[in-house]
Amino acid sequence: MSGQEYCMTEFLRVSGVYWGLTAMDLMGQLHRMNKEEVLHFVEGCQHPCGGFGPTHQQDPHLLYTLSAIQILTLYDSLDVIDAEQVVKYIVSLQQEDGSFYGDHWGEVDTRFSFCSLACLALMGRLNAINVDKAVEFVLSCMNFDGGFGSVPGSESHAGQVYCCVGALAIAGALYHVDADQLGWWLAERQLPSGGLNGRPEKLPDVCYSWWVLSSLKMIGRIHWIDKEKLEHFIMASQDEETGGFSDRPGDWVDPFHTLFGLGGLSLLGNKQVKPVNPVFCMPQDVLDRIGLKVKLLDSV
Amino acid sequence: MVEWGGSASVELELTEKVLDEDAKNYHAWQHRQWVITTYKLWDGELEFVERLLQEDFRNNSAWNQRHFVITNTSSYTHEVLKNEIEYASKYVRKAPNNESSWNYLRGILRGQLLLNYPEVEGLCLELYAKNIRSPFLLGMLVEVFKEKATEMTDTSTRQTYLDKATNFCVELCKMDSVHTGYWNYIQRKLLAL
Repeated sequence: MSGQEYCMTEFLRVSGVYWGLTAMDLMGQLHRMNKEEVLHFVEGCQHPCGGFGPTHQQDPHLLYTLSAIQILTLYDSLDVIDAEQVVKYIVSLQQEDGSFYGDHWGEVDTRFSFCSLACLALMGRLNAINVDKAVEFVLSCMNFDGGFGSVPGSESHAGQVYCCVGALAIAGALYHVDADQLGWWLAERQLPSGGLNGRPEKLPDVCYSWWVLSSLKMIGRIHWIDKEKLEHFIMASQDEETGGFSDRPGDWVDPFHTLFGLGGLSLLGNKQVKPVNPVFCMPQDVLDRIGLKVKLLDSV
Repeated sequence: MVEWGGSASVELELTEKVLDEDAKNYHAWQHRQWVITTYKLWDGELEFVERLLQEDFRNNSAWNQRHFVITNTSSYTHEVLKNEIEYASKYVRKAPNNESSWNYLRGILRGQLLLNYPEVEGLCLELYAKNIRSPFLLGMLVEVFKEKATEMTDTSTRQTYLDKATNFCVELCKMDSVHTGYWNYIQRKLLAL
């Protein structure tokens, strides 16, 4: 990576670390990364309020707080940071209607509902927030087509669907979802090329192999996707020289699409990749180690 | 800053400028919804949606916006529903393979008895007779005949309707082979009725 690229990606650095490490762990290669260096970096991202910024001296946000907690969980090292303060930070961001601000500037988005519930679940502190209200807000973002958007009224989008379905799964509230209607909306994301898009009439992108597939897995309907065609699309998006994955065949690779391409392949049953947990996008053996079980809908 | 400045109409114009360049921009639509809700600028929004749909009726964001406006103004009364069925049907006829217009039509009919809106069956049979074979059309026909079967007390007529619905499922497994998993499931549910 060039100096310029390094600066340009500062705003998401800790998430980039999570994408890279998780991809390595899914391939059984986490040992090749420098654990001490990573832990030192992540520690330095925590603010006194408890939240994490994307890198040192950048403001805290829920997005980066989740990435940090995921990295620390991967390395079984939650003790290097002030976990209790993280809980306080997340609790402080929940609003009366159950939604969550991303940070103190007040943006609301169901992504932040997912970040909050996922963080707390990983730390075994889910009940620190008002889970019922959190569920109520997520459900208010359910649309006429069965999908979910970022706030009430926003268009259904596969990324938001993943966040909402994941949040509901963590909260034990998946039974609220119309699984048949949502499952069909998700299945419709598959285009003739085999790739998945994020909403109607948009281009396919490898990252939707994750958002769509994991959502289908959580609601017991992953077999509504043509697996062979999707696997072919993901594989075609791997660059033979660098080994990374891009958003679609022929484009430039990056860690984000590499992780979600591998995650998608894992959900499709590819044996070259470890089993991935569809709720947290982390290796299943990590969740097993910490004893975190989230019930999914039965396969139909 | 919008709240401080009170320049709601400027914000609305800004979102319109963005949507002119990128009609599906997620953030622009979200901001537009916030401005409209906060400053009650509902007037003229359906016309705005209509303009966008005329430019590109495959614009899913515009269909979503239509639902957003109606839900927050007149709501979907029986009269409004009949109107919206006619509106969606116009676009379904133009492009029977377009997902968005069908999703809108099915979405507004959720929880309704299709029996009360015979124009839906009429539309579907009209398109089928013209040899249109879109998976959305056939999927809707499955719903139509499934409902007719469940409303029927006479066993043999009930079976006739169930058979029609099942035959559409079989046809769908062939023509929409990417979604065989889904159509097999729908067929199993019919057989369990």
